This record gives sequence, C-alpha cells and structure tokens, in this order.
Amino acid sequence: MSQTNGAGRAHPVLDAGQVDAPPVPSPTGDAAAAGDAIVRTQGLTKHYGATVALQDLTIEARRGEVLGFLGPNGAGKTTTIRLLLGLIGPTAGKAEIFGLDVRAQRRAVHARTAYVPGEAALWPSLTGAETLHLLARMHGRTDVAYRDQLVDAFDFDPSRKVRGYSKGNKQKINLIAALATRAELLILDEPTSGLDPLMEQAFRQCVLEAKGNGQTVFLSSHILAEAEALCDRVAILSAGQLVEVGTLAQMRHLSALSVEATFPGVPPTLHDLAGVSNVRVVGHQLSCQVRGPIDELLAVLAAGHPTSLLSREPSLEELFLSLYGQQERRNDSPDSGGDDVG
Amino acid sequence: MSASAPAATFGAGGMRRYRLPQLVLARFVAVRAVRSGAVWGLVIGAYIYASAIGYRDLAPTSAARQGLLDSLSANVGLVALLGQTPRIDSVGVFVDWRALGVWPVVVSVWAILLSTKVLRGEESAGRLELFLSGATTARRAVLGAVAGMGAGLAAMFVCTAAATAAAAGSTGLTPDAGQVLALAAVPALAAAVFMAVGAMASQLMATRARAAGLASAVLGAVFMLRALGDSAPAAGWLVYASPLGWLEKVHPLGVSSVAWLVPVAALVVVLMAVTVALAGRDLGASTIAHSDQAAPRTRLLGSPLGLALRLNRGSLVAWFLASVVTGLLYGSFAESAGKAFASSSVLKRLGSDLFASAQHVGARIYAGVIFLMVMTLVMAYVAAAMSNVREQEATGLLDNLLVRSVQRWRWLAGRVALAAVAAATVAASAGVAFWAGASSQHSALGLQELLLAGVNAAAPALALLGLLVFVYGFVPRWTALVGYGLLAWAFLLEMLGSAVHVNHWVMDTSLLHHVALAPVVDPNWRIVATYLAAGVVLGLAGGWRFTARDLAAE
Repeated sequence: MSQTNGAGRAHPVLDAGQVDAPPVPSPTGDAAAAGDAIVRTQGLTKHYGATVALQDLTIEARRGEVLGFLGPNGAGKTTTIRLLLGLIGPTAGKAEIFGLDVRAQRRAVHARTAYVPGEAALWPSLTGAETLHLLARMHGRTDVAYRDQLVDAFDFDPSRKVRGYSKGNKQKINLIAALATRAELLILDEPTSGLDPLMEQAFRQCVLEAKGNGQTVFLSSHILAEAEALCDRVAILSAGQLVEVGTLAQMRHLSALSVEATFPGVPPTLHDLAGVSNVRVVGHQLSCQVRGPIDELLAVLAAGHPTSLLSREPSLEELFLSLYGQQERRNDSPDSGGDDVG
Repeated sequence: MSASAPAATFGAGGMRRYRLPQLVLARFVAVRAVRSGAVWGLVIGAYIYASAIGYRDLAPTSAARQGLLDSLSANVGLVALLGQTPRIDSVGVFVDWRALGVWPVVVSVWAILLSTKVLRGEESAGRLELFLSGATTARRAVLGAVAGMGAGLAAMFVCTAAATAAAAGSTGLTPDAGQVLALAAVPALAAAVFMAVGAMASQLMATRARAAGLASAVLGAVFMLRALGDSAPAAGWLVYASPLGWLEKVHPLGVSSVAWLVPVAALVVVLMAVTVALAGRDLGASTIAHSDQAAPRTRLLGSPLGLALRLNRGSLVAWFLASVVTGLLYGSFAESAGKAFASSSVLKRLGSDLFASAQHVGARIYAGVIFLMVMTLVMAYVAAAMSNVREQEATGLLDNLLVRSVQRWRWLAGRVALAAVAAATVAASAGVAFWAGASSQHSALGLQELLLAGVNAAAPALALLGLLVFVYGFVPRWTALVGYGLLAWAFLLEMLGSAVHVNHWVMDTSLLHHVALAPVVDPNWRIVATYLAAGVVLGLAGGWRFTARDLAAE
C-alpha cells in the first residue's frame, strides 16, 4: 500500500467531499522544542481512591518510532492511554504530546493525534460509510484516497449498518478512520482485537507505512508477536508500574540465553557453572539456560566435542514472561503494593 | 491477584452443580422487576389513600356527592382523560374513577420500557447470548424473562393490595378482600398487557428503540380508542376495542364487574404465546425484516449537534406528534368540559385544589389540568434526553468524539440546547394544538393565552434540564436516577396535593408546584425567569465541571 496525495478516486459507497490536505508530519515545531519526544510523561500517576491504577510512569515515545506498550490485564495500559488523551486527569505527574499539555491543550493535541480503542463503541444505526464520514469530520481531516485504499486493504463493506457488523468489522472502522487521518501520532489500544490473521497482516503493513512516513505509533498490545514485528522499543508495565523499557536488544540481557547441544557420548556436567540454570540431559542431548557471560559454558561444552550447538536469544514472549514473573514475585512480597486495575 | 483471592471471592470447594439452570434468567430479571414493581404498587396505594381522604373533604354530604356526579358525567374532557364516570355515591367509587383512570396508563409505560429492555435491549447489547449459551433455548429464555417480569407484576399487585387494605380503615374506604384484590389487579393487568405487547414488539423489531416505539404506538392507540369511546356517545363501542376500556369497566370498588378481567388476562396469555412462538428466530434477527444495508446519508453528520439530531430525530418527531395529537384531542373537549366546570361548585373546588390561586372556572380550569399533564410530559422528555447524554458517555460513544477535535463544552452545550429547544417546542406546540382543538368547538380560549400557557409549561422542564446538567457534571452516574426520581416526586406530590393537605415545605420541593397553571391564571413570568435563571446557573456549573472531570464509562 503506497501513500497517495489525497486526490485519487473516491470509493463508490463512501463520499468524496470531505478532503483536507493530508497532514505531513512536522519535523519542527512543538515537538522539536521538546527534544524529539512526541509523547512524554513525567511521574504520571492515577489513583482511584485507594486503588493504584498507574504509579509514577516516566516514558517517552520518539518521533517516527513504534513504541510497544505491553503488560498483563490490569497493568494500567488503558489508563495510561486515557490519561494521554486527556479523557481522565492524573492524580500526580504530567503528560505532554508534541510538547503540549494533554489536559490544558487537548484540542490541539487531538487535532494531530488519531486513536483506535480496543473495543469499538460505535453508533449502531449508522452505516460504515456514515461512521467513517462522521469520524473524519470530527477529527477535522482525512485522506480520502488513502481511506478508500484502506477500505480495500481491510476488505471492508461500508454499506452495512454498524449493528450488523462483526466485532472485527467494527474494529476495521476504527482502524480505517484513524489511519486515514495520517495523524502525526497514532495511539493504538489493542488495535487488532477481533481481526483475522490476514487483516492483522494488513494492519502491520499499515503501521510500517505510517512509520516510514515519519508518524509515531504508541501501540498497546497483547499480541507479543505483533509487538516484536513492529516495535522499535517496548515498555513493559505491571501492576501500574513500568518494569522495563528499551529495544528488544537492550532487554534481552534480562532473560536467559537458551542453549542446546548434542554430543557423541555422554554430555558434560555443568554443575557449579556461574549463570547456568535449567540443565536438562536427555540421552546425548543437553539443554540449559545461561545468564551473563557465556565463556565458561562454551569452554565446558567445547571440551565435550559437540556435534551440534544451537543458541537462541529470548523471544519477546520469553522476555515478557520473565519480566512479569519477576514483578509478580516482587508484588507477592509482604511490602509490595499494586492493584489490579486496567 | 494472589492464589487465595478466588477462594475468598467465590468460596472454597470443588465442582459444584446447580439445580434448574434454566431459571437463572428468570431470577436475574425478577430481582430488578420486583424492586420497581413494588415501588409502583406502593405509589398507587399512596394515591388511593390520598384520593379517599380527598373525597371526604370534597363531597361530605349527599347533595355534594350528587352534584359531583352530575358535573363529572357532563364533563367530556375529564371523561376523555380519566374514563367514564360511574355513579359516584361512595368514596370507593370515587377512588375507582380517580386512581384507575391514571395509573394503568402510567404503569403500562413502565411495562413497555421494562420488557423491551429485557427482551431486545439485552439481546442487542450481546448479553442475552451469554444466557443462551447455557442450558436453555431461545424460547425458554423468553419464558424465563417473562416469568421474571411477572414477579415484578406480582410485587406491584401485592403492594397495591396491601397499601389499599392498610388505608381502608382511616379513610372511610370499606372494601372487602375481593374488592381489594380486584382493585390491585387492574393496574397489574394493564401493565401485564403492555409487558406482553412490549415482549412481542421485541420479537418483531430489530432494535429496542423500534420495539419501544411500536409498543408505545399501540398504547397510544388503545388509549385514544378508550378516550374517544368514552367521550363521544356515537362511538361508545370503541371502548370495547381497547383493553383499557375493558379494565375501566371493572369498577372494583363500585358495582363490580370483575368478569372484565378475564378477557384482559386472556389477551395477555395470547400475546405471550405469540411472543414465545416468535422467539424461535435467530439471535439478533427480527420477524419484521430489517435491512442492514443503506445508502449513506451524511447531511447531518458534520458536527456533534448534527449527530445528536440525526440519532434522535425519530424520538423528537414522536414527541412533537404526541404533543400535537394530545393538544388537539383534549382541546376539542375544552368547551364542554368548561361548561361542566362552570356549572359545578364541587368541580370548581376540585379544580381549585389543584391550583390554589385559581379564581377562574370553566374551560381554563380544564386547560390547566391538561397543561399540568403537558408539564409532566415535557419533564419526562428532558429526563430521557439527559439519560441519553449520560449513556453516550457510559457506553464509550463519547470517547469517539472527544479524542478528536471536539471540545467537551461544545458537545454538551449542543446536546443541552437541543433538549431545551425540543422541550420548549413540544410545550408550545401542545398549546397551539390545544387552541386548534378548542377553536374547532368554538371555544373562547385565545391562541395567545394558550401559546403562552405552552411556553409557561416548559419552565419546570428547563429548570430540571439545568439541574440534570449539574448532576451530570458532578455525579454522572446519578443523572437518570435524579431525573426520573424528581419527575415521579413532582407528579406524585401534585396528585396527592390535589386531594390531601401536604405540608407546604414538602410541596415546595416539587418543580411543578411553583409554576402558575396557565391559562387558569396568567403565567407568572417572574417564576418562569427564576426557573430559567436557576437552570442556566446550574447548567453552567455542571458544564464547567464536565469539562474538567474524568470521563466515567460503565
């Protein structure tokens, strides 16, 4: 899918009369004044009475990057997004988008931001085409030709009323409406909820195109493969607190390296090697995990003259489970806080 | 969540088996229906008590009773409003006429709202399929829901009967047990009929709004048949075409004809049987085909206000038409009703109990009764409109607008302005339509005074609108509760206050109490201005709060 100039043909069901010039992400301006951070939070905190939904979140999303925002149910992802959109106010701390305060200057922020909620709440009596028209008018601009391309790419029939759509088709409306704005910042909260695998591929293509156009994407997702495929950096949230943020490469040290080796005879013994754990021996095969330097392990394995040796970096899923497991253990300790609020 | 949390929440233990899982839906519905049914029963009981007390004061002597009877039977307007007047020779017959003319219609509206919510609203929201995925079928689920709503009707019946029996001793009412039960059966059966109509409409129509619209249209038609049959001697047979007409003939505290309860009960059974038969359809489908395909019409979809107009145009037109039809119908009875009022000292008293400062008689008193009804209806519209505003936020629809370039205050101002204009239009059009109906019968009531009476009738609704914006701004989850609660409170106080002496501090809490009942007296523009100013101040405060508070989804 390629970028258009917004002057292409209109979809037969959709209207063609609402075209504004597609926005071009501004390389200068407010965000430039704020460094290259498009989204910036500082000590962002949200409490509901005694319940801690989000605690002291400090994070940045930079221009043109896809920032993955991961966490288990109730970690505070949606709370963070609602704070960023100014739908709720923080108990403490602040959030800025394009260098603008998200509460005090939310209209200016929204004019340059597009949002896809995880659960599509749409007007059942409107058709898909009417809903796309309405959402475009409420946003203030849309690239009509690109919207029509998206309608085709997502295989979406806009002539039906919303009440007749499946969950996935309702989600397509939100995706098409948001992507067609070509907004500088896309905030996506579980955006592929209900989409089939083919549509997920189409979505990934769109996000990569948006990134290529210089748009910033703040992607909250449960689908770790999706985050792994799309995100430049990921932030992991648990029980309202930021556990880790960084590139996958930066985070891989947090989880063990998996090593598998096959030997012609009995595998060597790995007792007392620093950082080695989960050693398993089945016949001539040995598997283990290692944290930190691997020189000592390699030396022992090499001494056994392995016929094959395979090492694998942890996947995002393994990182996530590893980090979430650590956080859970911390939360289960007697002096821990944290409540289950999304 | 720690491992012990589920056990703490659900209790410890292994696999449990539950008996009669097919009754879960019935119990689920019954819990809610019984609560509201019981409240309605108690309210009806309180009204019966007040009417009985009022009769003692109104017609203490035999001569006064005869005068009351003569006046009522000649008053076509009141007959159209409350039903045919029987021979009022006892407090029981008076209570019959007064209570059973009003409450069957009111509880029928409740029944329609309840049944369409349970049988179509829950399905549209996707919650019904959770039940249907259990050990039941679509038809059994409908039967279960009907049984649950039936529990609500039973609660209404029991509470009405209990309250009536409790009121009997101190008010001069001396009904036997059979009469008490028959009296309680009339509103309960009226509600049952329209619960069944709503249930059937929920199978016929694809959305709750359409189902409620169809059932309300049936209620309106049935009411009109009864009103026309009662008020026009040549069309007296129309009464027999209306279940409300059948119930009118029961007269449980007078010359009782409880046999008329039988066809009403039979109608309920038939309607329910048809409903259950229709319920075998696919989930989400409807008997009357409803196309999900439509050509886009985007004319109003360019602004939040346009969207509100687009989404509410059906109900706006319905309210407008209802006000016009009501105004025309009751306006056409104004002349004869006025003559009856003018010739009856008792009715003059009955009227002046309603409007403490009223000095006038005749058609103006009758018009005052009708405009009191219009005020109540317009307040109901405002309560419904603000409930809808809250629903937009609760369901997340508002998020879709506010995350774009829509400002909160502008969205709310548009919705409030639309409600205000619609309320004023409905009230004013009722005034004009009343004039048109009255003029057709050569009444002396003028267009200007009735138009101003209509405008005056909008004042309580506009004050309520401001108050509800305030509530919405500060405690959004209470918006519907406060709206409908204040409406019911004001209506109840006006009804009670017309029959018994109610402490003025209590009466002062009614939004309806302070407004001059034009055209009985001239509108008190100072009161109207005060109401409007209070509404504006409260609305601004609520709007200010709304722009700063967290959005609260359900």
